[in-house]
Amino acid sequence: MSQNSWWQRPSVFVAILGDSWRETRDSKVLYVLLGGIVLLLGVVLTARFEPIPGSKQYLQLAARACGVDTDGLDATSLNAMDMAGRLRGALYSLETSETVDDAEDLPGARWRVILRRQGIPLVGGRDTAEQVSERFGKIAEGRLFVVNSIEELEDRTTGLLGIQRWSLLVSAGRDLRVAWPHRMTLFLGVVPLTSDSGAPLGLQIFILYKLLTTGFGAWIMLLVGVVVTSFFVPNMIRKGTLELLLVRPIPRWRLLFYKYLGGLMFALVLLVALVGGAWVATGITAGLWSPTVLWAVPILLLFFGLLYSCSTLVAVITRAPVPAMLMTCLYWVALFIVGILHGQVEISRMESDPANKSQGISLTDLKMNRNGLGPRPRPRQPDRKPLYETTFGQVVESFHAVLPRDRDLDNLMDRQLVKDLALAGPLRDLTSRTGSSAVVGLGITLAHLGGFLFLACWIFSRRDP
Amino acid sequence: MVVRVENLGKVYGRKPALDGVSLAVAPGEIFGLLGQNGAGKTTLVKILLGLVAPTSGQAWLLDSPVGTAKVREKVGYLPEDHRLPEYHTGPNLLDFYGALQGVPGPVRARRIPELLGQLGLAGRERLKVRGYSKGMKQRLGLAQALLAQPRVLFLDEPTDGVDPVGRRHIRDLLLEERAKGVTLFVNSHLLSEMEQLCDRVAILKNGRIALTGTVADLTRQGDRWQLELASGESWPATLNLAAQEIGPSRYELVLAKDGDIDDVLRGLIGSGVKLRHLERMRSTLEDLYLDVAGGGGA
Repeated sequence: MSQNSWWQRPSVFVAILGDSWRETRDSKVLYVLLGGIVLLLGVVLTARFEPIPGSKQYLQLAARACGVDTDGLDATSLNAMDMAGRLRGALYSLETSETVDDAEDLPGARWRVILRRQGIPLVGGRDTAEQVSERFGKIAEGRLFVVNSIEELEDRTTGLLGIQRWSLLVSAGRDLRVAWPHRMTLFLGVVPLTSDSGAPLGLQIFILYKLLTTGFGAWIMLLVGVVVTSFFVPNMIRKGTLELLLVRPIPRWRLLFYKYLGGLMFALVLLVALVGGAWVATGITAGLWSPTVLWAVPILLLFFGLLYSCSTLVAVITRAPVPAMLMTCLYWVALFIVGILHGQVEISRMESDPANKSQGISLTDLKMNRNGLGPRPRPRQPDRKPLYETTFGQVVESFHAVLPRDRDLDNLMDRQLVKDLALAGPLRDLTSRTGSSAVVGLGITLAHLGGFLFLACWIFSRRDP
Repeated sequence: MVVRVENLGKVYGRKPALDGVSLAVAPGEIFGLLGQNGAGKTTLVKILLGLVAPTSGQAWLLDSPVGTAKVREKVGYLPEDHRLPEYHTGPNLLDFYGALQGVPGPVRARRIPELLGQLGLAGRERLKVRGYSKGMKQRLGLAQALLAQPRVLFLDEPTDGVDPVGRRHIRDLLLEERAKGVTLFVNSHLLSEMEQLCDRVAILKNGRIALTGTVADLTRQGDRWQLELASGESWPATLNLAAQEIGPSRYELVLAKDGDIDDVLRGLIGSGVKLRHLERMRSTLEDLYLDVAGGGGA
């Protein structure tokens, strides 16, 4: 029976996890939350996404992009100014387009397209059909259309003028559907959620994921998780219960650490139910399966782990659940406020940056850089120092430098989601130009989490019961 | 010695809880620790279990310094006012504590129903602890202490809240454990229980050992005897002994030595007096406790 290493005594770990699981189940909150999640997902399952006919804008975009080297290009920069430096030496345009077999003009259709190339007469080479097949529909890393067949339309006169024309048979590429506007309704079509012109399906699913996982749903889940788990450690270390645990042949820090992991298990169950459920429900209703949303589970679990480590430390010091709960919420609010204020400081810096002015970055861009959550910046007063140069701004930046950044974790999630759900448009900008590094954010979060836990274990190991 | 304590001291802040305590408990002994609230009993037990560090002095358990994992594997403990997690059922709770104690799964599977049966908790396997009465919780607490088949048992008020039948049951169980060679270290305020259970006791007062010895030695009151004669009989004047009348035909004698009672009996029979009852007087542990712990103030 004398085995001292934890890997030799997995039964201790399993026993404490089992104890935490029983405590969790006993609180009944778990069942209430799971019931809430099922209800929420049930509502999602009543959603309907109806595509709106109209392929013209995408075919035109695909045609224009044939003349541009879009590799590595940010899709938001697909405007005339940015594309100018990337022109291949010719301009492409769509002459005509129509669906094949009189099919409805929806993503499932095939299209007959006449593509026109206007090059500089007698200068530069001609494009081959293979080159056009490869370029048509490819935008940056995404693909709107695939070319099923291509035929060059010979015309000697226009050829001399540097004009080439092709007839293409194209069908939807893997990214067309996410970019295509859909009309979204809830309760089997009864409650419309978008205008008649609809919105790109990817954007709608992105917003739905944000609401259910990293946004409102996560906020509720984390808050309830903090409240429920704030009782775990105080219950364990109350007089009369603690002695029965400390007398066992296990180091004290391990008892506390395992109990901490037990609390994480509670959050993990809820997060798997919420995020996994959201993934399945949206997959069923929208037919769009983006497994990257499942990254929300470890990312949110990490943030919950941070909050719970704070709760554990306060619980070890005070031995009471209410201070643990309140201090953790205060810590959370403090992180949130510092995040908001730092966003303002960052905006003031970017507004003052001449490089940004020359690139034509607008206030809207800046707002997007802050993940679209912050208040709209006010126009700068010319006679006032920018916020980032003030003492207040520097204090905010100092706090921001050393405190965990929930927004960085959020951005990390968005960055993953956008890869699946946004071919083009402002969504990509949300993640591509964020000022702070997700790696630094992760590092600071882990450092705080580890620091809180270490302190809690150290105090717990040294104090008389 | 199973327990050895030398000059142990513990100070909480500026308040001394233990002051130069030394004692030893032999294998297979049932040792009782008595004292008023705040006398230092629980602190001493917690030091022996390694839960609290002493300020001065040294303590050994099973010939090893207290507090090591190796020693704790061989110890069972039932704290006073324990609070068992109420979300477990009885068998689940025992399984949990058994796993923490390092008891292998198959042993737990065998021992748990056995112990629940021995402690009168069989048939309540599905009931959560919150549904237990105080006496049942006490018996479940005792079961967790016994589960790992410890070599030393520390019991703080083991029969607290248990009905008289249950107390008897527990006392018999503890005596069985002693018969198996287990050493018991018991704290209790139930002095009659302690008198029946313990081989030796120590009385702690203000953090110091005020008195220690075997129960038999401590409760003996020299050669005091009480006699009851047949109804209507009186003490014969021919007997050259001063007997104090303590009731109708009841007398108390204080003799110089043990053998003198034989002379008294011969004298009584020679005088034609009929003797109905003879008893050697002992003081109770409670008398002793009140004399030592209760006198003189804290």
